[in-house]
Amino acid sequence: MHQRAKLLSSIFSMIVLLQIVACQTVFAKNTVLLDEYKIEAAYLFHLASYVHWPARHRAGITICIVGNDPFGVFLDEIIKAKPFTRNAVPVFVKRLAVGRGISRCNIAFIDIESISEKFWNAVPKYHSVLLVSNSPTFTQRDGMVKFYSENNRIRIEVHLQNVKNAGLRISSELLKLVKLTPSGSAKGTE
Amino acid sequence: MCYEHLLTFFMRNVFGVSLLFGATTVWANTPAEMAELSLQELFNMQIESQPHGSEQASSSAWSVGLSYHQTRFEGYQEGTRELSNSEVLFTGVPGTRTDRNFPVLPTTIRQEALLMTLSYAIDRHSNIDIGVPYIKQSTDHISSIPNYETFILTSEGLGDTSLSYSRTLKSWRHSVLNGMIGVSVPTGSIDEKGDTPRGAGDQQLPYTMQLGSGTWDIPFGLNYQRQQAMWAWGTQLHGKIRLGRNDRDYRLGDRFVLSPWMKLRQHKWIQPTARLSFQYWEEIQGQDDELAVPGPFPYSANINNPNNFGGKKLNASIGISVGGSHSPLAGHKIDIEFGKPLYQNLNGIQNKEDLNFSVSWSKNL
Repeated sequence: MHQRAKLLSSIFSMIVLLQIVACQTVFAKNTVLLDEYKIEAAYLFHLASYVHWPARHRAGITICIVGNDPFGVFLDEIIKAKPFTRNAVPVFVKRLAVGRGISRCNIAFIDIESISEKFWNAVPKYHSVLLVSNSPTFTQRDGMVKFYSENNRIRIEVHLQNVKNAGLRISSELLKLVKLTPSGSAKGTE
Repeated sequence: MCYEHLLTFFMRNVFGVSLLFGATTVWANTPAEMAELSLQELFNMQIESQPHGSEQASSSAWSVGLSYHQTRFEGYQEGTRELSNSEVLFTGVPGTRTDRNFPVLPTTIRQEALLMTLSYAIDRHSNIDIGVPYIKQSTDHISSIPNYETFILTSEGLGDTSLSYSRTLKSWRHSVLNGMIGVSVPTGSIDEKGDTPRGAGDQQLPYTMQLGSGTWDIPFGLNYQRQQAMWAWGTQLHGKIRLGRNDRDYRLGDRFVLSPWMKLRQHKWIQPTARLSFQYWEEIQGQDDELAVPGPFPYSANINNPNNFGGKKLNASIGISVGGSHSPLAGHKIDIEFGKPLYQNLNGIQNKEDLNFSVSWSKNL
């Protein structure tokens, strides 16, 4: 009994000590992410300015993070620092569980680890939601924008046909920089 | 906050020359800075932290390290039961000498090691390391032998040199599995002597006071690590297999350690860490005959009996990791860790571990 109490007391002390150390080093605005995530978070924010949704969406752009959230508060802090697109449309962030409906999102980002049939089943047809991921096979399904790394940089691949099918258009400024999925065409540009 | 801005300003200006050559690393660290970047700037950004697991991109194949470890043993335990010094010390009056009491009692054992390491990256996935430890040990004793009521024994010198090869076995986008195998060369002495109550002059010191194993050993390890937005975590399985017997006809026990850990990555370059490590190690095989005395009770102290080694132990450690690519320490990395056992189940009668501490520094050359 004495051993057990001592063990519990030791575990408790370690947890308290860890909490103290953790609290001393949490500075929310200077959160560290892997650089790839920082860049992907910034891309997500920029996509709100370079993609055109049908008129009914122009009251605000909602970026949904579906499932695993690799960005933490970093994306929220980007939007807090710059809450509007270049067209002065407000941007919001929302988190959703995989399988929840995404029709109220303008951009839905799904991390490679959360991709599953459950996600694809929750994607409605003609939904006007820009589907974005860092999964290598994302554009082989109905995915529209894929982040990938090349030469130590994060690049963007766009599947234009899928973009068009969703009723969206991508700015030519963005298209100048991205790689197009081979089966895609230029029909979705403005 | 002012400090952070000054630092960013300094880094941008001092390292700004790299921008001229297009090798833009991610100096824009804060969300506000990232929000201000143009698409073109984002496209030009280099990923500083490697995607699969490594903490930091390195500029050279060579790196050096220095680490200091201290472990203190105090008090006694048999299995999981704690024993008082008076239960273990044989005083002659009024007790009876048995296998479970001894006329000489180590009360505090301090083991310190300064480990120098040199590492060479053969390529992005494999490394060769050499580690040379300098060991310093001291043990406080009490005894019931006249003229040796209290005494201290010490030993110090080079320990066993290790050479190891590590390689990335598999990597995923956010995680990596590394393997390590090596050889430990018996450069540490197993002939340390000191003035003990076993006889006049200097005698062979107990196993715990020797500086090496005396055998060629095989260190090995598997290390899985994973990086997430705010956390990095992983698990290490490592150990040492002892081969053959040394010149004194014994072999230290094999050792296996399973160690899950995590690191909070919320701050740029100061990151708290936590670790649990479960150790299993075996008793000594064979015996150094110089440590035994003739008679029904050959061991004057528990640490002379090869069966009083080995057991199972669960340690918890917390620490802090300072440095990395975002640090103002310019490539230096410092780790400090403090640990304490949560559970010990020891073979025979042993000195129990009280605490351990380590601080290490490394630098990519």
